[in-house]
This record gives sequence, structure tokens and C-alpha cells, in this order.
Amino acid sequence: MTIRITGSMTHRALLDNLNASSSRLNTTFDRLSSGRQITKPSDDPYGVTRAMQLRSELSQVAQHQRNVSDGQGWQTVTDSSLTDIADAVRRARTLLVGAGNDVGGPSAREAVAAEIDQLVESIKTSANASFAGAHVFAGAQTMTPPYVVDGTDAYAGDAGAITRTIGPGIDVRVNVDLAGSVLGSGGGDGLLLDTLRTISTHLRGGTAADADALRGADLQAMDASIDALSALRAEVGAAANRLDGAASRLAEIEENALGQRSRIEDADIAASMLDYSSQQTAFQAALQSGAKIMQTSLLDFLR
Amino acid sequence: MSISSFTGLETARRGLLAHQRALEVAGHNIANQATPGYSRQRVSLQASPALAVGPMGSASVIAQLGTGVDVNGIERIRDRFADVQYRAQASRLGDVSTRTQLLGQVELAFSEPGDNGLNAALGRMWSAWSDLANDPTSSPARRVVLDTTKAVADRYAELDAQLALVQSQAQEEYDALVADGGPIHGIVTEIADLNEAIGASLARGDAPNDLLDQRDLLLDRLSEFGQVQVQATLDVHGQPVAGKVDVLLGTDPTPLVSGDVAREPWSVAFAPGGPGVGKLGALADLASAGGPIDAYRQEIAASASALASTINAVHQGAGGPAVLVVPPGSPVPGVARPPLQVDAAIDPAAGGSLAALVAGSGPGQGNDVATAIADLRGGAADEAYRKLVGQVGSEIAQAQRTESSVRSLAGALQDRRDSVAGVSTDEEMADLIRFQRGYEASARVLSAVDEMLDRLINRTGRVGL
Repeated sequence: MTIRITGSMTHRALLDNLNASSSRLNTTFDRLSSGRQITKPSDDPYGVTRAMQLRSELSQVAQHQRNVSDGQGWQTVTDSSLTDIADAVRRARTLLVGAGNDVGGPSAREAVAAEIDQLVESIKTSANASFAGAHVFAGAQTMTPPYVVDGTDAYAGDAGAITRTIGPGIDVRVNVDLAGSVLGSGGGDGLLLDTLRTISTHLRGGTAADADALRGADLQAMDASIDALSALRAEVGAAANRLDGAASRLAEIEENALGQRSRIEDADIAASMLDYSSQQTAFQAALQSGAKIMQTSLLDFLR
Repeated sequence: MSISSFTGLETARRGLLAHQRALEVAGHNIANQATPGYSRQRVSLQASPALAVGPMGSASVIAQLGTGVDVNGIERIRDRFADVQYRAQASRLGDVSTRTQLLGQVELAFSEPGDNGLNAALGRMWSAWSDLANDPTSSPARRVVLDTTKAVADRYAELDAQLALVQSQAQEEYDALVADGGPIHGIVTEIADLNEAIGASLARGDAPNDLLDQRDLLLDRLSEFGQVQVQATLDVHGQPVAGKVDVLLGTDPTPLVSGDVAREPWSVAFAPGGPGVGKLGALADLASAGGPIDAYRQEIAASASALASTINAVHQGAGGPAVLVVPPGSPVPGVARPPLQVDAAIDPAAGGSLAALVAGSGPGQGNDVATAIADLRGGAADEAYRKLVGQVGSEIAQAQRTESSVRSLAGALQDRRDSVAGVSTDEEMADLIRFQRGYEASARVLSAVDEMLDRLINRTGRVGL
């Protein structure tokens, strides 16, 4: 099939092809200068939804990391308070064992009782520890101090749990129920504060029954409280380990998600540079050949 | 029968004139090679009627003697079928290129993927709820929840407003195109005038080639706006009038131009489905309720509504007020409608208070409400929005691919038209040389006959002089 080629056909073909060539060049240049392969949804519709999902995931992981770090801070404060309380309790036990022998007489016993009273206040002060403005041992009532120092032994908080979200749908309890399992509310509930007050009363009493109680029931109650405290400290340690594990797992997830997102969104600079130079060559070839064709005509050869 | 002695002069004269005409037509073609819509013209030559010759004094005929060349007319070379095909493709191209351009604006409004889009704003809002869960009594944390929630509502409103703007721009452009005195009216009036001129010219027996070219060019331009149908104008007896055409546009049932007369008073009325293919069809579809942009707005409103209902369910279930409010009704084309608003009860600037934000559902539960809301991340609302962005992206990519293929098809049809009707400079040059030589040769013939007659008239019978 032979068709007539007219000047306007050549002209239009040249312009259309130059346009197409330079628009390809433009796209590659865009990619190179922005560093991104996808700048708008039509560039890669599925890729965009995937990239949005990964960005969402990264935002969630970042939040979880913050939560974990907040929980770890809480744990640190809890742990150091429990350590202080443990020291006080150990001192109280030593005093108790010594006082059970009753070597020093009433004045010595009075001194021990006074020291035990001071230990009670010091334990209550440790129990009032706070992290970022919230009392760690008050259950859900984080705004009120759980114990009144130099006042009543009653516990002013509740048994609520403080949780931190460390994963999708995964909540971890970061507080411990110190009042419920160890310290108690005073007033005869058999827990540590009540035991210490009882010991103090028995020391001041000085009767044979008091002395028997000091060596017997009180010592047993004290040991029970010490066991409860150790159990609580183990609980805190376990929770801290869990948070550390979560922190490193979240760091891995973050790295993975960043890598995937980069593969989808970011431009491959090396490949784009190669594309750019080959497209540029093609564009120049189109320009040169177009110029040659447009200029040649029969007029050049007629006298 | 005897032939006049001056017959040779007449033959040469006819040759001169015919070649001169042919040169002029070639010159006209060359002058108009870049004129848009120009179809090349060619002089139509025919040998003049011959004279019968026979021996002197006898009535018998032994030969036919030709008497030169006549110019029969100037033909216009054009492929009418290619015109019809091209116009169909041009209206398709008008349709898809308008869609691609306007939908391209729509997808830029989303700003995805990126840090400025709705996806990132939602992420920040969920994180703010999580921070509130970490510190349930904190007032600054509540302030951040309020601010990030407002940012989400603002982003939704911005998105809807941009889409409504595109709709109203499409409507404005449509109205401007079909208005009295607008481009379509102008084209139609010119076609009516050309109809009159062409009709009168054909009635005289002329061939108004350039006027026909102009009318065809106007019809090409009109076909971008909608599907163009051309019919011969019928006179009162139902017979077609030479040279005049009726033009119909899109689904408008009556002709816009009827013979010499454009429609008066000016109005364009389309069938309920719309103007059909073409730029007008695309604009009407994009601007209307039920078009693609309206569908996107409905989906945005649905995503916002899902977000509001899931958050409110948790918050109100724990005794707090609604956090997000959805305005009633549906989006109206061209009118912005914020799909989501922050409830006044939690906004100090609107008379509410930050304390109305509930983080924990009661004694013993410090942060369960805030934790539950933060867990809504990645749920129905986020999913609905992501799905919408993917849908918008793939529809626009499809429109771009369609445009590119329709454009190349239209280019091929234009090439086909040019191949028949276009001016090739080389061809005209070659013709010029041919006609020039023909003219020179005819002039030579004229000189030869003149010399012959001069000898006959002036030298015969003068012996010795």
C-alpha cells in the first residue's frame, strides 16, 4: 500500500513524537529530583494503598514504642521503691529478732519501737513514689497519694490496673498491687503495716505475752510479708523483661516496615539515571532526524 | 469539410490558457499548504471537442482533428468518509481528555502517599488517644486529642471542598460552552452563513472549494464538543438542497443549523442521559449527581460517618458525649459540605470543655476507654479511605491510558485525511515544472503557427521579393 506523504503529516508525526519523548524524559526527571517513584495515586494504585498501610503501621509502631518506654519508666520507679521498702523491712526484721531476746530492757525496747514507727513512715513515703506526676502504687487513683505520711495507715487508692498497649490488642499491666498484697491498710488486716504497728505495740507493752508474740506470731507475720514482697518484686521483674522484649520486637517491625515502604515509594536512583540518559539520547536523535527531514525537499534540487 | 487556417492559433491559445490556469492552481495549493483544513485542488482538463476532417470537396470523414484542451473545472480532493471517521474520534478525544484533566486535579487533592494526607492525620489522631491512655488525667493530652481530631475533620472538609470545586468548575465550563454567544453558538452561526454562501454559489454553477473547506473545518471543531451529525437540508418538497447541510450535536434531537438559519432563540437541549460523547458529555457527567466525582464524595462521606460512629460508640458507651458529628443529608454537586465536625461539647472554643473527654469508664478503670479508641486504628474507617484512594488512582490511570490510545487513533485518522487531501510540496513542484514546460511548448506552437501564417499571408504570391 502506498500512501501520499504530505508535509503536514511529517510535521504532525514529528511534533507528536517529540512530545511523547519529552514527556517520558520529564517523568524520569521528576522521579530523580524528588527521589520518589510514586507521587500520586495513578502512578501505581495498588502500590499507593500498600504504602498508606505501611505508613499507618509505622505510626502505630512508633506509638507502641512510646508506650513501652513509658511502661519501662513506670517499672523503674516501681522497682526502686520496692527495693527501698525491702531494705526497710529487712532492718525491721533484724530489730525484731534482736528485740525478741529482750537484752536491753524497757528503754532499749522503747528505742526499737520508735525506730519501727519511723520505718513505717519511711515505707509509706516509698509507697507514695510517682512517675511523671502519677502515683505508681495507687491503682487507678493516680492523682492521690496512696498513704498519708505521719497520719493514718489507711490506703487511699484502689485496686485498679494501669495498662500500656504494646501491640495491636496487646495490653500489659505495668503497676502492681502493693497495698493489697503487702502493705495493707493497717487496722488489723494482718499485712505489713499492721504487723509493724503490732510489733511496736508489743515492744512497748513488755508483758510476757507480748514477748511471746514478738518471738512467735509477729515473726511469722513478718516473714509472710517478706515473702509477699519478694513475690511482688519477681512480678515486677517479669513485667520489665516482657517490656524489654516488646521494645526489641517493635524495633525489628519498624525496620521491616521502613524497608518495605522504601521499596514501594522510593525511586531506584541508579535505574532512573540509566533511563534518563537513554531517553535523552532518544530525544536528541528524534530532534536531529526531524530537523533533517523537515528541511529536505525538491526545491533543494531544482535550479 | 474544410478547417479554418486559424485553427492552430486557437489550439495553441487554449493550451496556453489551460497551462496558465493549472500553474495558478498549483500556486494556490502551495500558498495554502499550511492552512488548517485546506484540501488540495486540481485543475480538471479535458480535450476540446474534435472537428471531423475529410478530403477537400467530399462529404466523407476520414479523421477527427483535436482542437486543444478545455479547463473543465477545479476539483477539490477530499475523502468524505475519512472526515466522518475523524469527527467521531475527535468527539471521543474531547471526552477522554477533559476527563483526564479534571480527574487529575481530583487525585492531586488527596496528597497521598505523603505526610500531609488524611492517612497521616488519622495516624496522629489515634496516637493522641494512645497518649491520653498513658496519662488519663492529663489536660495537655486532652488538648492534643482535640487538636488532632479537629485536624482530621479539617482534612475531610478540605478533600470534599476540592472535589466540589472541580464539580463547579466543570459546570461553569459547560455553561460557558453552551451559552448564547459562546463558542458553540459562534461556530453554528458561521456554519449557517457558509451554508447560504455555498448554496448560492452552487446555484450559479460555481464550485466554492475554499468555502467548503472552511465549513468542514468548523464541523471538525464542533465535533470536539459532541458527536456531530450532518444531513442534507431538505426543501419544502422534501428534496435535498445542493450545498446546504443541517447539523445536529450530541443527543439534541433537532438541528442546530437548518440550511441558512441557526437555531433562534439560542438554546441547546439534550436527552435526559446527557449530551453523549464529547467534551460536553464529559463535563456534564463530572458535574452531575451520579457522576464519578459525586461517587467519590459519597465514599468520603461514608468513611467519615464510619469513623464518627465507631469512635462515638465507644465514647458514649462510657457515658461521654459524642466526639464527632456528621451533618445530615448528602453531598450536593458543586457545594462543599464538611463530612465531619468536632462536637461542641468537647471543644472549649465552642462552649464545651476538655474535661468532657472520657479516658476511663469508672473507678478501677483508668484508661480503658482511651485504649479502646486507640485500638480502632486500622479499622473500618481507615480501610474505607485507603480503598477509595486505590480506586481513584486506578480509575485515573485507566483514563490516562484511554486518552493516549484515543489520541493516537485520532492522529492516524488525521494522517489518512492528509494523505488524500494534504498538499505535498514536492508534488506541486513537479507539477509546476510540467505546466511550465507545457506553457512554453504551447507558446512555441503559437509562434510556429504564427510564422506559418505570416509566410502564407505576407510572403505568398510575391515572387522574387
